[in-house]
Amino acid sequence: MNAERVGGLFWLLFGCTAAYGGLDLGLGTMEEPGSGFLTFVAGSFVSLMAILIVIQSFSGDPAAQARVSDLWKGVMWWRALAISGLILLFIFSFETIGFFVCSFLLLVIIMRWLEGLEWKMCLLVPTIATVTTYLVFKKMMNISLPAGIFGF
Amino acid sequence: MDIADNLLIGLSVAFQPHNLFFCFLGVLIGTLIGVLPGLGPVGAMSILLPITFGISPVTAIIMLSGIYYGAQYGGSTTSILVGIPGEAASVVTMLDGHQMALKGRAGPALGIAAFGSFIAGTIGIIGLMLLAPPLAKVALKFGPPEYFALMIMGLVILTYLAQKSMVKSLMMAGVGLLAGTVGMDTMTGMPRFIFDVPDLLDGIGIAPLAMGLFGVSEILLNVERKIKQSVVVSKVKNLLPSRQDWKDSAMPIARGSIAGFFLGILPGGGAVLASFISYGVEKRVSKTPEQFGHGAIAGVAGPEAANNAAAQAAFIPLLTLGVPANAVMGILLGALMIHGISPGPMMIEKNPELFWGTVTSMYVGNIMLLVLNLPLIGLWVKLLRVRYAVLFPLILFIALIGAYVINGSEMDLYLMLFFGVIGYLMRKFDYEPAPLILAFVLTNILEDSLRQSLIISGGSMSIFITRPIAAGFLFVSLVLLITAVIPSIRKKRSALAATADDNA
Repeated sequence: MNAERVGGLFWLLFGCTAAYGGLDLGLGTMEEPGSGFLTFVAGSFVSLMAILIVIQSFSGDPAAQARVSDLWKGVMWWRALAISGLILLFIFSFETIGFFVCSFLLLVIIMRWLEGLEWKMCLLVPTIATVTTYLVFKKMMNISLPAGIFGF
Repeated sequence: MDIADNLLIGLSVAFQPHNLFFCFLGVLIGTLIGVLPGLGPVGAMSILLPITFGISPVTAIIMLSGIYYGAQYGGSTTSILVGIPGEAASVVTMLDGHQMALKGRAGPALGIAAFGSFIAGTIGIIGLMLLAPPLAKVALKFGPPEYFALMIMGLVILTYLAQKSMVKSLMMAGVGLLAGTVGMDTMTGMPRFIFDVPDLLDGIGIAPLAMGLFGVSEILLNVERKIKQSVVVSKVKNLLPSRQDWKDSAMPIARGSIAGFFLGILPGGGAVLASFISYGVEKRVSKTPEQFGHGAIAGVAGPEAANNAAAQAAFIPLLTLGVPANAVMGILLGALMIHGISPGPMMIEKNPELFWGTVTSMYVGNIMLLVLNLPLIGLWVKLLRVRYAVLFPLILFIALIGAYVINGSEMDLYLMLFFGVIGYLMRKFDYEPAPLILAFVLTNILEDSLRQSLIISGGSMSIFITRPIAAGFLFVSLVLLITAVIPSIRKKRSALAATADDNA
């Protein structure tokens, strides 16, 4: 699939949805624009630009001929996916399990499993990072961090 | 009050011990961010926003400003020694700076970059001091139509100068406006696109948006490939440029400072553009243009001066009009608003300590940067040897905790991840995030001024062309949009984009 076209079609759908949302919120009048006025105008503008991109993708311009699969060719895309998954897991468990355990585990897993660093480094750096962050935010700035089920 | 009185006010603020400390912290972090590839000043400033909550607004702005102009200094170190731009404005410095390092002249390259940055930074601050107060007086005459037109012009300039497709950049500005409308409508009280999530009533926060689009997305892109950091020299010697080096660099520094300053003022302009233009000018006026790309010192001095002058000048539209010139200034605007300060024409009169304190702290910061970047260069060389495998988990961790502590809300973390993935995909598909951020920051002012203008005019759009200042701004925007589709200019823009791609 042509990458430019896929991108253009995505934003066309997004723009049309936003414009519809603007209509739904109410455009108001020219004398007194409603809550949906700017949304409708911006959504329509995004749709228009997206249509231009889709049209350009049919031109012979070599820059617009890349395929979607080309964008991930020769890179370790699974690492980006793994990091995103780990962040999601971190957010899910952050308030339940608590700052210390979650942060320490996140750093250790990335450094050891994803980056293959030696154990000494994988334990030392996360320990220093979590303790320093705790001292800066909790002790110096008095900002609360979730204690979680372990109470720390 | 004259400038001398104002300077005294500024100095009394800037030299308070805690302000000196935070100024130093800012320029130190800025240099660090500039030196380390993978995190730009926008990402760093948004990550560090929560740290500023516990300090006064003036101290917060002094620190955040320090990060911004400090990053311009630090970026050149990585460009010269490693051949990877530490941040976008240093891409051009790399062309000749790295060649100089390969030929054993890393010292003079770093030296002229630091001195050039210092001279240009100082010229930029003087310009800011002289130009901002009268501009603020002019801006007092601005009504809603003028503000609306000015912001449209800012967005058009930003998209016009975009390195990639202008259509895509315009579209991203539209997406930014849409993101900015999420939350409660301040005029009618109606919730917009909150999907029954109470946390979204206040809208999307600037920090999770910026951290996601610039910080997380950058990490996701970087982990896909192995980053090889090889420092070409183990010890940097002879940092002081020779008499001949100074002779070759004096005019490029002067030209770069002036061009950079005026390009920095333009809403949508900025350090990256200034450095590219300076390089082009120096190559054109040089008697030995064939040396450019092979270690010409003028190719380091000019762009470095330009990006630093532009960095200082970018404060002018923010502090006088309340309009951020680029994404970094957008973050600063967000920071000021969090502290209950609305920048604009009245700010210099209402908060002279903040304005003059920030400006004078920049003098102090520039001197600190000279010390940090010359005698302490060995420290940065050592830092460049720290593996990215250790750095990026720490950057990610600080971003996550930073996003959480702003509101103590899990929702901000989800938003950051969401925008991180969106930013990653945007970069994959060649969409630039800068217009999105700038439009997002401007949405509230833009929407309010549009509505107020239409209420004043009784619903007639002619108000934007019957008022001369507003008409002037819109005319410039129109001219830019028309010229962007003229084939010869399109070719030049594509060539510039190609150069940037080749060098990045």
